[in-house]
Amino acid sequence: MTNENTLLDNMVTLVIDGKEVAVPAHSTVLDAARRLGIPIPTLCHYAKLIPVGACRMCLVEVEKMRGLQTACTTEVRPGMVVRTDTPEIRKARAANLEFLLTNHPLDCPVCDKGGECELQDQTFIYGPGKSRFIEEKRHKAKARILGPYVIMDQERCVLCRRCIRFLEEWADDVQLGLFERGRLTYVDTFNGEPLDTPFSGNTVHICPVGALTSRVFRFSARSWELKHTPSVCVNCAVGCNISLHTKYNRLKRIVSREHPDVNDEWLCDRGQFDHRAADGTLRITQPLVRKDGELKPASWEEALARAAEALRDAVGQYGPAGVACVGSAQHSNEANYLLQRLARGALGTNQIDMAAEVPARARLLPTTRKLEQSDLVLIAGLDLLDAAPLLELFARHAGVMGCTRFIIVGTERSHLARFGRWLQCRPGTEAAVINGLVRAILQSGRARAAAGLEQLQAWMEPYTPAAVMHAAGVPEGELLEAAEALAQAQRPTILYGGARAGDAVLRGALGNLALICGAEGPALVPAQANAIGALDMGVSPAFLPGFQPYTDTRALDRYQQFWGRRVPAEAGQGLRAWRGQKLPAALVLGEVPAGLRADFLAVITSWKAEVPADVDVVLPACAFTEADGSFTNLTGRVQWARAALRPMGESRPAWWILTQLGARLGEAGRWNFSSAEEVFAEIARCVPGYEGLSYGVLGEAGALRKLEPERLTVYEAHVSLAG
Amino acid sequence: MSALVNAVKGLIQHLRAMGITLRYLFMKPVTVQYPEQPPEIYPRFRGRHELQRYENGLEKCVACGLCAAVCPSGAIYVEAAENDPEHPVSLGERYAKRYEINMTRCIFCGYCEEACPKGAIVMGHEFALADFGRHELVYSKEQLLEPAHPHVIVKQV
Repeated sequence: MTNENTLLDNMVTLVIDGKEVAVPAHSTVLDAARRLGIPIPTLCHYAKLIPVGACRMCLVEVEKMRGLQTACTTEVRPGMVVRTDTPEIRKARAANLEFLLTNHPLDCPVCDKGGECELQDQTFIYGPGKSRFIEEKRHKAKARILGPYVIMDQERCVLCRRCIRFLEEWADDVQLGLFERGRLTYVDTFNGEPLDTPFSGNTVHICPVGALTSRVFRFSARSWELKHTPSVCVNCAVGCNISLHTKYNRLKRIVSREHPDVNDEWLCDRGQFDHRAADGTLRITQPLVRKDGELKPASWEEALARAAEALRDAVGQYGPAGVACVGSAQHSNEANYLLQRLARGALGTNQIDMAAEVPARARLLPTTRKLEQSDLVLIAGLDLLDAAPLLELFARHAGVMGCTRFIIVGTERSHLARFGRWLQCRPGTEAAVINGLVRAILQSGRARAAAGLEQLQAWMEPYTPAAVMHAAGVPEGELLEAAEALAQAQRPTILYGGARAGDAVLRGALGNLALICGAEGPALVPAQANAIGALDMGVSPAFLPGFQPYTDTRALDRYQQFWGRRVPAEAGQGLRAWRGQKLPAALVLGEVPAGLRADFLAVITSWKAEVPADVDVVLPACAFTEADGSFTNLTGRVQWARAALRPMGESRPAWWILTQLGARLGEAGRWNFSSAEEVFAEIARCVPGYEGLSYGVLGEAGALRKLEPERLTVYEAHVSLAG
Repeated sequence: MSALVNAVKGLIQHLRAMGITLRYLFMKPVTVQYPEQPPEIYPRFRGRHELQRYENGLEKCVACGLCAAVCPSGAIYVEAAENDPEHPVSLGERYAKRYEINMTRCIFCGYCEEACPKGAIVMGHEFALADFGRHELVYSKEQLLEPAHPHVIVKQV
């Protein structure tokens, strides 16, 4: 025993059903059995929640322990001998199920959980097959509306407390509780307050029975009738893995798919219950062309010809500066890539930009689970819950588990302030607060060594706690305590983004802080689903795909070869410049940015709401549920959202629309894509960082794109300290 | 010798066969003069489906979809909706907003009846389903709720 190495010291060997297994110390008997592939039925146990041993389904026999033990809460011990399938255990399981069913309404035919119900499955496998209970069952509330998305049937509840535990351990929003005792116990909200946490849909996902069900899905299909298509949520940049459940070409529900580095297995309500793409009243389903001053339905041929002609005329008359192409951070990589190829190749202009302000070569989180691995997270000028709800969920989980503290710098109170402090500052003064923190850490002498530290010290000199208090309103003591926490942190992470993603000064200030604390980041959390992908694709007047400057002659030569066209080396203007003028012609993908005016305006969009009054041609695009496309999330993971439904009405995938426009602008022989997969193959060939990727490689898990982020250097980050 | 024996044996067989023919000539014919005469069928004959109601008039079907799931020819389409507690259509929370059976697809196997947890769908005795168009053969819920009056005699067994 003396020469065992340390790894073995931490392993415990036990015997389950005659099979020996070694598991890490502090594992449970259930973990060990699952490792061996031995089935043990459970109802209350959920791998991502702390075990409570409430349902009594996982009873096993342990030698030298009196009575049956719950496998989910019994820790393994060296030399333990466990049996999981003896007559006594079978009897206990059957009895347990019989007891659960005495109080269960058995209304499986009308229950939305029917067919995917853990109680139903286990009753089939382990149940007694017959009930001896002839008395009247207890009666509780049925069809009780708990919140905007969740409806409850209290009779079906088996009191496993999964929902309550999720709200405690993950959402940190305990809106459900147990009331009464014994047979009368029920789950409900407190004082009739609604279950309106932004993560309420997950309680439906983890409910083992039909007690909590979705109001959106309610009675619209049975689980076995649904076709599952793996896809990606496009509501924010987390890119949660979802499965689109459809029946007869109708979207019925959105269910999470497990991905350890993206959404684990959770979804926010915004994503889970967003069925707008399937709502015909919100969609544009017919090409529209302005005739005699009025928008009228037209054929695709007519609309495409009109748009192509206007764009060609504008270039002919005014040169490359006569057109503007606007990409979209909400659309796929394929659509954005083709739009910039259309601009640079067919129209010969660098006049391409998008409304989302995304810094080039932004540093990104390595995984969405990074927050749980950090001991301190600083969030500056970012409403995390709004910009990336799942990151907020992981942050709350980390906070509840006590492994992570948070420092929030901003004007709005965040829930995460519960697990740390909120440096409440005046609007727009976040950078001053960060500079104050940098100065305080530099003063304390605990800054990490970095090039240019003296220079930084000189730049930061004006940001004394008193000056920061004056300018931003952050009390001096709090600033110094936060700086102390940052200096002590072992694995800090810094986040910024949202509406302030384009704030270069704040980003620079956070870069200084990351540099002197050795922090991860500053990691960008963009507000739009594909902001990072769209910029990677070259939707910027300054950058070709993969952040290559448009002045880089070698890159220009390469693209000339790829595209068979001269690629413009002349500067193009961006959105900021366009806002001050009226352009001859503009082609917009997605929403038309505020202030963009053009004599001729063509819009490629899925939504009625995105069609402005002065548009000349509307080209209806498929929603993400109807067209294949790839999206790059906030960790740089490229993921494939698959088409689950047929295009609505006359709408077509954006890549098809742009290919058709290209053909009418003289690109017919050069590109002729017949699927999104072919467009992505070209992206893999032409976009640095996307080499070697294909839909096959992306599969269901996606793959990280490889683009070097910017290197951190000291930055002046000058901010006014006027109060 | 053996040829003679064979000839006699053959003659006897012919006479016996002729006897059977003669006997049937004077028996009651089995042919039913349908449609003038109703055919006799067994009680478990599987004819056109009928949706059942409870005595209080509520529909038994709760649109669980098991009939559609078990149907080997995909002939059944069910669409559920939530009952208005004030004016329920069925007993329970959900009812069939649409319930259709495509009789051109149905093979009358009876699995739907077997799968139904509520005894809502029952195969009746109506079998004369011919019509002039395929669309007429997609039976709606209203048609299926209407009890048929088949022109048959049910054998007592």
